[in-house]
Amino acid sequence: MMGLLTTYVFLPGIFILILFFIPRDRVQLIKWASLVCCLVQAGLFLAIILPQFLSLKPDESIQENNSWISFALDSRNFLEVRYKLLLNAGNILMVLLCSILFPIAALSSFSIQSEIKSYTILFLLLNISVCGTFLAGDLILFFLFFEFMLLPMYFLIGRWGGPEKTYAGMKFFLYTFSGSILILFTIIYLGLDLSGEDGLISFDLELMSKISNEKYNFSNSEMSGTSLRIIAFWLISIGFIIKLPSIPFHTWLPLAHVEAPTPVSVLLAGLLLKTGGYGLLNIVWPLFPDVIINQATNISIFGVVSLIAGAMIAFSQSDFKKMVAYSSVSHMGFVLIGLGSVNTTGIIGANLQLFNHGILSALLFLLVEVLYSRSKNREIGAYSGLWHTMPKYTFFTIIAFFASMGLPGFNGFVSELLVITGSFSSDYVPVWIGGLTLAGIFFGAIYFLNTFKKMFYGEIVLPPAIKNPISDLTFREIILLGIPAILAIVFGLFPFLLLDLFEKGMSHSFHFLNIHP
Amino acid sequence: MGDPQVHSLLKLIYLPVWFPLAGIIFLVLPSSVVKYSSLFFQLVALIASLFFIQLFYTQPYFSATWNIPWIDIIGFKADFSFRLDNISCLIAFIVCIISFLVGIYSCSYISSKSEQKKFWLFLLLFQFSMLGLLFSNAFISFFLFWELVGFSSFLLIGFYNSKKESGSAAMKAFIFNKISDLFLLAGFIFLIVKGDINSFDKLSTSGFINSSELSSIVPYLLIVGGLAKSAQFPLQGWLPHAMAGPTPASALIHAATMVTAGVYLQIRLLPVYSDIHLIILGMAGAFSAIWGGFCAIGQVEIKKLLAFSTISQLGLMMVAVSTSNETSAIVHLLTHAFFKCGLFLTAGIALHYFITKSSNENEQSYSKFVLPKNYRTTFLILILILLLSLTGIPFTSGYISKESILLSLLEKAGTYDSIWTITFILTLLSVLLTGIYSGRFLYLIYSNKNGETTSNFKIPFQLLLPVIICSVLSLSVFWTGLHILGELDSVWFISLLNISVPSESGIFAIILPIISTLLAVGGFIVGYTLTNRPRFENLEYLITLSINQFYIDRLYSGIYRIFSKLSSFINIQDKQIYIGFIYLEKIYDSLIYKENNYSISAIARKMEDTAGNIIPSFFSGIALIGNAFIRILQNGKIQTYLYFSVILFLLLFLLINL
Repeated sequence: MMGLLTTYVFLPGIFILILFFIPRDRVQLIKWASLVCCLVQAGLFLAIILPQFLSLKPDESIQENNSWISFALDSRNFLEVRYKLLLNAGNILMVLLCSILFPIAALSSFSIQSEIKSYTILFLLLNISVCGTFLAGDLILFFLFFEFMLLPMYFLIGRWGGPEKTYAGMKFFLYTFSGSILILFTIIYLGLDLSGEDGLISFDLELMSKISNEKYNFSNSEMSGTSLRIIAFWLISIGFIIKLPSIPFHTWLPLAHVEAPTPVSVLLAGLLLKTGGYGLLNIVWPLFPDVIINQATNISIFGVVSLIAGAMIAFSQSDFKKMVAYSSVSHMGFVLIGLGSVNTTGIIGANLQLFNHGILSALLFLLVEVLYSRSKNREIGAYSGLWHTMPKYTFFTIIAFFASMGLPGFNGFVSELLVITGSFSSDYVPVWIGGLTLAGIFFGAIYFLNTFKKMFYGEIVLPPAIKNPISDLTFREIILLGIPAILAIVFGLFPFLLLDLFEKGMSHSFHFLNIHP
Repeated sequence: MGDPQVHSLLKLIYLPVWFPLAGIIFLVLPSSVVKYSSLFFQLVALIASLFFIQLFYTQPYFSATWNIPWIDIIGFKADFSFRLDNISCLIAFIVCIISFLVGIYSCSYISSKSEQKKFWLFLLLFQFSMLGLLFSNAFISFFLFWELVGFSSFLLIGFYNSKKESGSAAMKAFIFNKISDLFLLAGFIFLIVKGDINSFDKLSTSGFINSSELSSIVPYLLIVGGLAKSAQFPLQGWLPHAMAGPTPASALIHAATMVTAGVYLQIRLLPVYSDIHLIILGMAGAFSAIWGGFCAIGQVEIKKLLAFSTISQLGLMMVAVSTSNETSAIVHLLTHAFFKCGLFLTAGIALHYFITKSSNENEQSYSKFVLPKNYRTTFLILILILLLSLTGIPFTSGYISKESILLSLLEKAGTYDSIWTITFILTLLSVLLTGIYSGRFLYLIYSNKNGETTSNFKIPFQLLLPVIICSVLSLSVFWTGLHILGELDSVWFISLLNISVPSESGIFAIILPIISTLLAVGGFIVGYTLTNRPRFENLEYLITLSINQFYIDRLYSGIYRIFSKLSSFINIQDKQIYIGFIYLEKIYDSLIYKENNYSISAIARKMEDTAGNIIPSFFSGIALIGNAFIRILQNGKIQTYLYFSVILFLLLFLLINL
């Protein structure tokens, strides 16, 4: 019998098969099919998988473990790749985020005009690969899903994007592909290095992290932190940091965002970037318990540079969507700072920041789309006095901007608080990192407020192409913006709803945190 | 109900906090009813706060705490907790009554139907967050409400959204506050993480001073953390601009509530500070008192004058806190709330009704207002009471608080560091300045007898009533009963505070009030008579300095400009990295596609375009070499590719065997 998780991941595959039999001119039907698919998937998760997960003990996980590829390398060594999906404390938030963002993106896709059928098929393929990436418990399987994401993404940007779509798609592909090569190289190294005594070369993540903890724990100092391991650590980290992205590996992101259609931007910022952070959190950190401690400061510096420079670059953008894209770069800095603190508070903060930013970036990109769909103009300077004409739009913008600034009461604050606390209380990171993180929050406030002031105050100015008066939000847009806005407030006021999901299990699965709490 | 703990927790249900929140929910009603429902909830909040005051009369040592776990993970624990005690209840009473008065006033002031709902939403949100702040016990919940106060004041200041200036003012206020807030947050996090203290009530019992690691940095963070909210030097620049908001909002935010939050915070944090920190706090306060007083003198716009006066008075409160005499700080907070609110509301009426018909800006900017005949006496009395209270003349409420501040400061000056003497002199000087600008305020409103107002009108009673109430409450009779020249310990609510009032004695207790009263009265007369007199032209540069606030705004905007220059510099560099990568990609392109689209000469030309920029030159240099290399390789012969791949394999082999 097919397991729950397999059903969850490959459910869109069934819909793709159905879609093949729907004629391409039944546009509405195709759109609804993709929305229904994402809703069924989300329902499956929320109604069946999540309750089952909640009934487990903190250290248990929902697993599907089947042998897949296995052969003997020589008389002694045996290589095994397993088909293993698991849902544990490390990835529960990301899967929850998938279940929230895919229906939103599917609803937002209703505004796509051309070649709906192929768009929808690619969209659902992306769905499979993203969910698979988060759920995979074997590194080779993870890598397959991770790589497969590039294919639908490349076409989605390259065909349905803006004027420079081909170049943007190409660039996106090249960058992330080079990152993937680094990741693959390190996965193979790790597989060989962390093979057990019995000659089994396995890529099972749980097994590998267990061996890694035994082999490279703190008492075993001669083995730990050798230069080869440091190199391997940075190779795989840079591979994931490209995806995250952090400055200076970020240049693909603004271009891809600006050119991509809005639902793709939502998924790109909301989920694809998160695979980078997810990889660092769930693969790199458990497998390199020795290296992260002596590289903690460097990782944090990466984060701080990303946070502050990202905010400053966002400040001088004139394109609304680019501003939002750079705000993503800036906010991903928090993830690296949290990870760099190497303690429970910081790492939980980083995980929470991945989730919270997923919600907020979706909200921000949808806000950009509202204006763009009316005027085909994204220049910040082209708008003024929007508060007066679009009060509902202003309401959602205030929520999105102030939540992104880290105003308490919204979800962004909780993760930022945890990250800063983690950094201040860390044994491996100097205090000034925390101080600069606070400065980064301040810079974040400046560019959001500046944009808000320019666009929403003053006399009414609209781009010339638009017919006056500009119309306020439609019902569909209110639903689209309302879901992430409500979630931002709910998870901001009641963060324990999220924290209870993964906090206990997380500190269990990170063995090294138990040694150095 | 039998269990006293349960009984005290039940009281939290009618904490005044909840009623503004209920008011917000009731904003869904049709807009014609909204103002009545909102006023109703404000009134209920006021009654609730009175109930708690009564409670503290009967049970002076009552306190109740209410904890909800909010974040509880390994290594970090933040609760959400409310705590009822005497100080918070007293200040909550002030907030409620001022909010209610402002509520009545704005029913008439915000006349447009479409704006009413928005205004009430912001106002009630503000009141809710302010009350929440007062009752918060845990640092994190305090910080949440503290930021919400900043947020709702951002909304109120930027209320007139069709003006760009109000947007700038709102942004400025939020950013200044954010600077402080981050310091405060850092201080709180240090206390939680390193000191294991997560709420105010644990501060006093924790023996904080002994921990040298914490006391070396945390008090400074916390001092800076309270500066911006209370508009203290050097983070005061937002307050004068914040007058862009509607006048009732200015009265509420900048007179009575938000700005006093910083003072309240410092009162709560007093156990953290040792002598040196108190000196810094006192100096910041005294300097702000002087600065605000001096800048107020030059102002022509009455609302701005009042804003600077607020900075000055808040400075006095900070000084009071720094002498560890929180009682007089609280009393001054209360008296100031009433007279400043009254003055702001008067200014609102003046700006609405008393503007002269032919107000030619060039002719005489001072005589912008004219009091109509039928209101002349009424307003003279009202304004005079409020102003005298501001300057601290006997028989007014301002006198009680100001004298007690000066006396406790004098006591400090006698015993401790000589730096307290400087603080004392500065504070005394600020009393003189207060007199001068108060006189000037009266001159600005009252002096013009001949002009004509825009229309023949009747001021609505809703506007007049709050001003009258504020004036009456600014008389000392109301607060001290029969002790007409009242001293601090005769104020009726002092017994609520359970704080021993320092008893003034000796010759200074008699001389000091006389000196300060003389200073204030003298200042007042000078301010009234000398305004707009030509023979003081040689003091013009001082006035210019005062109007321009020592050009401190230029300093701020200079910093902002440096920030935006730096940002655009980084942005350009960022784009150039991106251009550099384009060059690299061109090598990649030439690898993928056989034909060489990008000849060396083309790249060299591009190099010239971006000459002088380090990053693109670097990348195009690589591109140049790479391109030449690829040209050699890509000659179409299969052997070349074979050699190439063999070399690569050898390299890989070496790498693996290393």
